[in-house]
Amino acid sequence: MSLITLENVSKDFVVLNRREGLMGSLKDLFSGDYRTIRAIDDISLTINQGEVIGLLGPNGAGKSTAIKIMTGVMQLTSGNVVIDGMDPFRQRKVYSKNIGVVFGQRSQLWWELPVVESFKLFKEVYQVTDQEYQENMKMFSRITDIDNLLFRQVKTLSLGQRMLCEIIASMIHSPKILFLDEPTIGIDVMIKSKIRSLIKELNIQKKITVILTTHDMSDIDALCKRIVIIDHGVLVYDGDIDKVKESYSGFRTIKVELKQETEPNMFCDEMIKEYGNRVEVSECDDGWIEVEVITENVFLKVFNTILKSQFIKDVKSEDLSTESVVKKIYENPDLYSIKSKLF
Amino acid sequence: MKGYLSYIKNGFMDNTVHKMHVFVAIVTNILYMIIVYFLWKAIYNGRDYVSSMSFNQIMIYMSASTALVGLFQTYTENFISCRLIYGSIIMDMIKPIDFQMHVFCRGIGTMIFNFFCVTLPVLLFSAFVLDVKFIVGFNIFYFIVSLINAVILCSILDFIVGLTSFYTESIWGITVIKDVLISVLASIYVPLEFYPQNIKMVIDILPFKAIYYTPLKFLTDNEVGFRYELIQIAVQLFWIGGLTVLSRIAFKHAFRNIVYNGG
Ligand SMILES: Nc1ncnc2c1ncn2[C@@H]1O[C@H](COP(=O)(O)OP(=O)(O)OP(=O)(O)O)[C@@H](O)[C@H]1O
Ligand SMILES: [Mg+2]
Repeated sequence: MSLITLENVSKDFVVLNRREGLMGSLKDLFSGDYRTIRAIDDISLTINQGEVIGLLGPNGAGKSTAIKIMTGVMQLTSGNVVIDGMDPFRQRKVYSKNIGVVFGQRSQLWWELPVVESFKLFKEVYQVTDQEYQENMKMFSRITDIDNLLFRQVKTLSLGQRMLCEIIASMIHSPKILFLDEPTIGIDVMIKSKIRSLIKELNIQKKITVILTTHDMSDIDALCKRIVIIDHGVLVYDGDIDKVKESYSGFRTIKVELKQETEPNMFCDEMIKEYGNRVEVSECDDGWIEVEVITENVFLKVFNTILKSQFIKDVKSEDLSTESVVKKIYENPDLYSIKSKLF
Repeated sequence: MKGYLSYIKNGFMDNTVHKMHVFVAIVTNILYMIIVYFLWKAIYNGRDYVSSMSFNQIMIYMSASTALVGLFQTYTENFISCRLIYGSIIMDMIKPIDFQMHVFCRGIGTMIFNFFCVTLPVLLFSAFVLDVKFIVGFNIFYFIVSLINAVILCSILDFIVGLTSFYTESIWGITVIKDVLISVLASIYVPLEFYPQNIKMVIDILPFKAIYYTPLKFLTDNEVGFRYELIQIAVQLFWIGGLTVLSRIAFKHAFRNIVYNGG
C-alpha cells in the first residue's frame, strides 16, 4: 500500500479584487468583489515509502500549497488525502508526530536563543528518547559541522547556517516523511552538498520518504529519481526523470560558432531553407548560434548538414540537462502532458 | 507534557537576553510606586479611612496591582497576531502540539521572568522602603488560589484578543481597547471601592474584575468572609470555563479558514 495518496485534490483561494490607487483602496473597504483562484486543480498522486520526490513547477504553480495540504495545516476544497493511514488535516496532532517540515522562507527556531535550545525543545515535543537524540546528533555532526553552530544565537547565524539548522531541526525525531519546501534557497555549494548528503543518508538508512520542492535542478539531479511537475495547479508530469530525458534525446540543441566574417543571417537562412520548421535557429548572447531540433529523428541529419557548412568555425552538442528538459515541459505543458503517448 | 514544560523554559529564557530591559523595568516600576505613594498620601491628607479603606490598605492594593500588571505583561496578543498576519503560525501548526497550550506555556515562562524582574522588586520595595504592612493570614491562601485563576483567565483573554487580528488583520487598535478596558474595568489604578455604585454593577457582570480585583481584594482585606471568598473564586472558575469554550471555538474557526499569508 502506498504511503501517500492524493485523490482529485483541489484547493481554491478566495481573494478580493483590489483596485488601484487611493480611491480604489477606499472603495475596496466596502467591496464584495471576490474572485476564486484555483491553486490546486484535481491532482491525484500516489507515493510509496522510501521515495524521494522532486515537486517542480514554475512560480505560483501550487507547490507550496500542495505541501501545506500534505502537511495537514490547510483544508482542501475538495478531494481526498490519506497519508500514513490518516487524514492530515483532521488528525493533525497525531499525524504531525511522524513528519518533518521545512519551509525555506520561514523559521521554526527560537530567534533569541542558542540553536541547541530549539533542538532540545523539539526533542521533548516529539518525545524523542535521549538515546535516539544522541544517535541522531552524532550523525548530524558527522555529515555537517553543526557542532560549531549549536551554541550560537539563531539571530547571529548567516542565512545558510540557519537553513542547515532548520533542516536538522526537522530531522531530530527521525520523521517518516520529510517535506522540504525550497530548502536550498540562498545557500552556497558547500552547505548545499551537506544538506543533500543528510537527506540521502536519512533516506537510505531510515527509509525516510522525502518530498522536495526546488528551483535548483542540481538538487533534483542529486536526490530525486522521480519528479512531479505541476503548472497552474494541474499535474503535467509524474514519472522518472531519466525517462523524460530519454524521450527528449532526439530534441537536442546544437551550438555553432561562425567564422569571423560570416553574417549570422547567411547561416540561419541556410538552415531554415533545408529544414523549415523542424528546427529553431536563434542567436545566443555569447555570439554562438543555437540550432534546436524540435522534431524527432532528424538530429543526425541536421548535425551532418552543419558540419558540412562553409560558415562554421566550431560546433558543440549540448548535453541534455534536467534544467533544459524541465524548462521544455514548463514552456509547453500541453505537448508533454501526462496524457500524451510519449510517456 | 514535558514538551509544554520546555515551552515554559524557553519562554523564560527568551526574556533573559535583554539585560537592559530588566534594569529599566525595575527602575520605572519603583519610580511609579514612589509617585503612587505621594499621590495617595495627598488624597488621604491625614485621614484614617477613605471609602472604607485605610492608607495601608490602599498601598497594599496599589503595590500589588502594580506587581500584577507587570506579572501579566506577556505581549501574547502581539505574538499571536504576528504569527497570524505574517503566516508564521504554520511552523506551530506542523508540530504535534496544541497551539493554545503552547502560547499559554510561553506566557507562563514570561510571567515567571516578570515575577523576578517586576513583581518581586515592587513588593519588596513597598514592604521595606514604603513601609507597607501586608496582611498575612488565611487570606494569603485565597490570594494564591485566585491569583492562579487570574493567570489562566488573563492568558485566555489575551489569546482571544490575539485571535481577533485574524479577522481585523491588525492588532494595534484592539490592544489599546483591551488595555483601556482592563485598566478601568479591572480597577487597576483605583480600587473598586472608590467607584460609583452603578458602574460597579456593570463591572460585576464582566470578566475583567476577576483578573485583578478579586486577588487584590483578598490581599487587602482578610475580613471578607468565607461566603464572599467562595463566590469570588466560583465566579473566576465560571469565566475560565466560558472563555475557554469561546477561545476553542474561535481558534477552530480560524484554523479552518487560515491561508498562511506570504507563500
Ligand atoms: N493566501 C493566499 N491567498 C490567495 N492566493 C494564494 C494564497 N497563497 C497562494 N495563493 C495563490 O495560489 C497559487 C499557488 O501558490 P503557491 O504558493 O502554492 O505557489 P508555488 O508553486 O509554491 O510558487 P513558488 O515557486 O513561487 O514558491 C498562486 O497563484 C498564488 O497566488
Ligand atoms: Mg512556494
